[in-house]
Amino acid sequence: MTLAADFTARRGALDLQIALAVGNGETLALLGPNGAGKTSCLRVLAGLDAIERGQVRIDDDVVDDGEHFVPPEERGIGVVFQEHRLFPHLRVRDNVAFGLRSRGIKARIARAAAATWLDRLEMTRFADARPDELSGGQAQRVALARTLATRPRLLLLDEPLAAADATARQLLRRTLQTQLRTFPGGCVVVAHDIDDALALADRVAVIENGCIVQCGTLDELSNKPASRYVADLVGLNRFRGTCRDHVLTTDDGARIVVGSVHDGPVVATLHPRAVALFPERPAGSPRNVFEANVVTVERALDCYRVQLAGELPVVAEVTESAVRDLHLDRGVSVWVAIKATEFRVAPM
Amino acid sequence: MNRAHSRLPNWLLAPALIAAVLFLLPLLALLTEAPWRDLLPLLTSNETLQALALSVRCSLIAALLCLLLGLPLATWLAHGNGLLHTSVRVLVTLPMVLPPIVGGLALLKAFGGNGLLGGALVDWFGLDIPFTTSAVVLATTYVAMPFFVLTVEGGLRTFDRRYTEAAATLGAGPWRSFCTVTLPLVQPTLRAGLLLAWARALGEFGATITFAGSFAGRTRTLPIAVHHALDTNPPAAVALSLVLLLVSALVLFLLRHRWFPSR
Repeated sequence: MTLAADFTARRGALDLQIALAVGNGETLALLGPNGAGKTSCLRVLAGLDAIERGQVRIDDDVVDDGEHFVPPEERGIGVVFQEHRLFPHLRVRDNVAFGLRSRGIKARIARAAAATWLDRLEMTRFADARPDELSGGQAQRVALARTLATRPRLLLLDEPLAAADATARQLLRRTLQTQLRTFPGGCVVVAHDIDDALALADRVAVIENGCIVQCGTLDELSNKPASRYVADLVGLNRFRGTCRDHVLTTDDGARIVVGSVHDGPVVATLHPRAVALFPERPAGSPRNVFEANVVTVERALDCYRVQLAGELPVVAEVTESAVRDLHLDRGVSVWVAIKATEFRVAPM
Repeated sequence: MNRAHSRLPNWLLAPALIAAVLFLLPLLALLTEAPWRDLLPLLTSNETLQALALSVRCSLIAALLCLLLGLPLATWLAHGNGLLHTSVRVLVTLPMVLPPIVGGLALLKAFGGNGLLGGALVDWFGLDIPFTTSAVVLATTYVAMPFFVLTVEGGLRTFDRRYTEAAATLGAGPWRSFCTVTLPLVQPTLRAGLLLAWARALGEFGATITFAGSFAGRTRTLPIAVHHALDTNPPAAVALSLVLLLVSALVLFLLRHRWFPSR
């Protein structure tokens, strides 16, 4: 394991209680609402903040156990901050050479290594530029080069795509993917959204209120989202309620026919793809049929997400032609049909 | 100017004008009363050159001492807010508000032959500081260092710690980070602090004359030479004052961005 951490830490009003592990060559994404403690967690791993109790281990070295604390410069880590934090008084080349110079490597050799990394990140032509002459995306590339040049054991990225604009973001994401694929150590990346997380990471850890509520692959998260937030994150509909004789009564009072055999308090999830929309009341087998009004229609990656208000508030994913044919728009009334077997029901 | 924001009460103008004249008048007097014709011989006389050389030497050494001792002190002060830090900050600020003559007397009591430390210095090292050039340096450092320390401490406090964090994650220890990141980034403040301290050192009079006296060639710096010339050669006093005025104008010019930021 490159990183094995199990600790509690306080930061302002937030109590962090984190347990996570990252293997060699593996990338773990941290996702969570604002203020949930993603960046705080990263700061603890980096050694910018200390833990209260527990242990943080990098390779076989205990870097913090609540008493013995190893400062960041001795941890063999690399951090790319959300706001690049390039040194404003140094040119791009010297920013990238900074880490190696700090390790006592001669200026000439450090600059040569810096040139190599700038080349890998396609930033060679900016080698003599000042950081304030770079765009957000360019600066983040330099910051990445600066960090990778030190060959850290553990790479920590704090929303590395946040500073780039939309076009630069795509490019930067691809660059990050390429670099992470060949990166030998472990990596923890705080991701802005699920798309970034999935593009960069093998597994996703979701933090809420300072705790990791769920950790796993996208499939694992989708199959059994541990919270409303995780369900929203992976785009699933999620309902809490009580089940009896294949009928789930949600906390809001809606009644759904489900295929489940669980009785008692349950959580049901429903993939938006399983929600079918019709202009008129459909005939046939679906157990759940009701009328609903369109609240919003949003473009997602390869489909449209339609939010519906009705007896059961749901999100449906439909094709572009469906949006056209059904004239889906705010306020339009449609019929919703969901097969009972599409609900995944888990006891609470 | 935006006329909507320039509505001032009229009564305010009279006292404001008096205040401005109060600053202008002495300056004008000094310039009109200056012995312009005899200026060159007055300024190139042996006594003047001696005082000038001594002043420059002592103020530069004092500025250097401010840098060597004051920078570590400012750095330490910038990293704490506890009782100890506050107490030390009060101690450092004291010479700025203390009448210099009191400072000089205090130095005399500390480093004089019968003083707190002075006795030991004489007994063990044969060092008798008062009324020597060393005393001038010590007195000017004492009054000038607060300007340096407080300026630099302010600069270090507003310094963006995020850069030292980045440096640490790149493998730079505290010392390397301080030298290669903090110092270059607070350099403008450092320069301003040095210039302020040097200007204060150059103009130092009260503490110096009390602690070092007025001995030509040894302790008679420019300000003390002005004071001495007032009795012996009044035109020379004005001529010397012009030199000090010129230096002050130069300092103002060099610090213009700090004190008179353009709108």
